[in-house]
Amino acid sequence: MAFLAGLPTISRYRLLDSPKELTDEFVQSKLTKNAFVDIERLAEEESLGWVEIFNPLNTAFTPESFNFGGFLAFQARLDSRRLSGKTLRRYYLLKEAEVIAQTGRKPSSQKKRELMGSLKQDLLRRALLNTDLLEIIWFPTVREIWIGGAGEKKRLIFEELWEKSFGLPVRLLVPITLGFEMIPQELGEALLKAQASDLWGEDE
Amino acid sequence: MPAPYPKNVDFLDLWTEKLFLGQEFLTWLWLTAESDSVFNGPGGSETIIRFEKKLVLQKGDGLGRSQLVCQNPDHDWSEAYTALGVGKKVIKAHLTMSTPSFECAFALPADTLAPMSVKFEREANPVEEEGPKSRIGAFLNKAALLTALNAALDYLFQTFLTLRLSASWTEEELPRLKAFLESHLLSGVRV
Repeated sequence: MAFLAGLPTISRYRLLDSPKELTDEFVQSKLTKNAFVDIERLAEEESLGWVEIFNPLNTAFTPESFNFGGFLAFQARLDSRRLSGKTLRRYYLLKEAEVIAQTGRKPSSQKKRELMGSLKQDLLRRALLNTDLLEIIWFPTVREIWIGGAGEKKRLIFEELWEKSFGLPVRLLVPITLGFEMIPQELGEALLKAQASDLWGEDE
Repeated sequence: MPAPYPKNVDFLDLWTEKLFLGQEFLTWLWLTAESDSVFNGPGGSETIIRFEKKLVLQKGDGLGRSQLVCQNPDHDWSEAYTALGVGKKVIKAHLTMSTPSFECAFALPADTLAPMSVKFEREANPVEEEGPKSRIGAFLNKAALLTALNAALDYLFQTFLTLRLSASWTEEELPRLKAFLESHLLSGVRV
């Protein structure tokens, strides 16, 4: 857990719209509906969903697991497994050799597609899963959300799951968006038109 | 009332177009802190900023990108001043912040101004005590410290922005920053 054990890195979002009534039941229902589903024994490439902040194996979402008084906290969990084209090709060639040995001829394109499909399912089930966890802290009173990490990949994971679960629009807080929140209304146009200063030198 | 966010403007386009705001903020904070590291913080508190260890400057994007990483434990930033003088911009800094309520070290990228790899100095060690209560306590403590850090950073950015959008930016601040740079640059380098 980056927020607890590591050196935290955060990305900040502003919630542009609030739910009509933010209750434990509301949050619980959204988290439960989009809870993480284990794909350990399934032939799925990835699974994305919510888990509890202190226990990535738990999706019970009792209020005490996510409501910490001044803020709400939970985690996004993404389990994924990748099957390389090379691996799939290797096993396909073995399978194809079996078919040729049995029938004396190469499989038809239809049969090839079927073999490839079932092979992919089989190999996916056997591939090891990689787990990524992304902590979320939601401060309802100031309509701010932090995610425990930076970079486009993490932001996209959060934005996809957040939108699917809560349907509430968010905007990443970066200098320009922070700027519009910080300056008075009459300076909005000046900020929008601002150009880089000539502090820096000319080209090398 | 805060300024309204512009309508019909693509967020990514606007973010890219205004990346210079974060770069100028880091440059202003750095050069100002080199002269006087004490800033006003939220509620009039004293906030001490020091740029430590590492400063990343960059010019251009993509294949034409030219980057300079200054590792500097002795606070000798002459290489960074020179890079600034030839058009490189501060894109990431490693700094320390000291306030009455916390001390921390962290990295600050210009594109988001969201703190990275934050290490608090006066933090109860969460792993020494065990059990759910101490774990929740440590979590609440970390969240409170991060909230205070963000508030301090927001306050500094707001101070910069107010200055940046006022007449005194071109009349006083830019000349001051340029004079500072000129006095620290190696002879013969244009500013």
